[in-house]
Amino acid sequence: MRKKFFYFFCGLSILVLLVIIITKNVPQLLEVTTFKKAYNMVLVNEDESLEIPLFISNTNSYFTEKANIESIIISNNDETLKFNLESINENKEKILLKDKWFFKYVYKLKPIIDKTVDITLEMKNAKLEISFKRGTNSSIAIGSLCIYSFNNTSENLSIIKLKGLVNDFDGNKLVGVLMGLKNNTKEDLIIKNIYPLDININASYAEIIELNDFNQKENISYILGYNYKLYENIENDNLEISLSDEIKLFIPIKYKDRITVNKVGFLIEYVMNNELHYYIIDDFLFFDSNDYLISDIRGLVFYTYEYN
Amino acid sequence: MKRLFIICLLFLFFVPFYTKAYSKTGHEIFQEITFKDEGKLLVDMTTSEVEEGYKYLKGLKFIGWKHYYFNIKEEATYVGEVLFAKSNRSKDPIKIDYKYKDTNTNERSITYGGSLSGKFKKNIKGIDTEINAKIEGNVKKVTSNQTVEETSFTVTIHPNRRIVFRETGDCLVTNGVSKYYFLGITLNKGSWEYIDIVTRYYELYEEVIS
Repeated sequence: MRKKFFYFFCGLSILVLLVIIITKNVPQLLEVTTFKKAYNMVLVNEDESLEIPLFISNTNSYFTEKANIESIIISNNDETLKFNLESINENKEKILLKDKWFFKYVYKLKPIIDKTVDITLEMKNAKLEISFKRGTNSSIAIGSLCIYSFNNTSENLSIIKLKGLVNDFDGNKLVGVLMGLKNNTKEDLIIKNIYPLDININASYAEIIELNDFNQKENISYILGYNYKLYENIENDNLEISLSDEIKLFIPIKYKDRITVNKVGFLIEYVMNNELHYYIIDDFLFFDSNDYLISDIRGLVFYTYEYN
Repeated sequence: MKRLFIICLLFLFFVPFYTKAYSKTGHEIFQEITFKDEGKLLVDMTTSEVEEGYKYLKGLKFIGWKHYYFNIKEEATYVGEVLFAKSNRSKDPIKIDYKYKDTNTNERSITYGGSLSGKFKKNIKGIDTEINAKIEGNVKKVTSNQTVEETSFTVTIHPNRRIVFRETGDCLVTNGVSKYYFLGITLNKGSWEYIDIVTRYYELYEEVIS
């Protein structure tokens, strides 16, 4: 009986020891993900920054403390831009993904860029690359990044209306912009081009109409009077819109990719006294949504790192 | 006379005065709420409509809360607050740089009626969890605050004009009545309503000063 108990006790001890060794050697994992979107900035003020939310599976990790981060760049195969990390803010928002809670942290980044020169930086398939002081790196696909800086914007024009039309095309999409412009001069102006300042979208010149207002979420096909195609490659000829006083234009937007663009600025080219001028509209937040769709969640990429 | 004066002072001292900003939706942050299909806000319900809800809570309950829902996550649109407005009553145009950044925006607005108080907030969380579990395909999410993206713009305000930057949006309305039972006796009851903001839309426009 004693012998049996001795063997049982030894067996149990070995089993417990094995369990401890196995669980100790299995590294704890940290998972990070983000919803891809079109990030864009039109640099007008000195203190402009970019906010990138990351969803992290642990609340206390080297991803959540600014002091642990050595440097941050955003890059793709062709372009790279360095950023200063201003802060990492806990958002008090959590979302259930893969039966696990992910906590939202917002990285606030300031581009290190010389604004005295005109800049056009457009990156598709952009990655947020973080170097940690512990010697490891992470590379997270964030969508696209566009940064613009213009030094010679005119004041012959000003904005009197800016409103985005949002329709449901497999999630909220900015499908058109109502733009009111006022001519501040006594000269006649001819608008030649209206460029949305984001690599993923174009203004559809052939479909621009004059419009006073619309109800939010009104169907763009109803406004235009025909079935609107959101994803379409278009070739725009120059516009010839005469502006003597005020005008309100509804500008339909075409998408090159299935990505969310909720904030965008515009560059307007116009002719006055036979000279070409341009007017910049700063990036404007047209809508903001926390309504995550199941289809968005299915497309998420999870990046796994060692916790310790 | 002196005694009466002291009593009046004591009355003023002990009885708190609550002033609540008037809002036709019952929620300060929403100026207007329009349901996409059918639905009614608590503020638009008659006393008899609310009483009708209590009738569904008459069954036996030994201890705990019982809830009856008028609307469950009913889709609606709202007209929100004016975030910024500036008038120009001078003869010259004014150029302004405006930056909007709200790091502490509530995603949910809650109101209570009857004898319910702020303590009922934890029950609202429970109600919401219960409702979310029933709705198939719903993305489970917990938010107390929402970080609204930063936006800035430069705008020229012309003489006798006013520039307005405002928010509208989509929201989900849930409301109902609840009763708390202890040993089968109703100890507390009241109505409640919570509105979750789903999408915010921003609009900038100029108007003539009347």
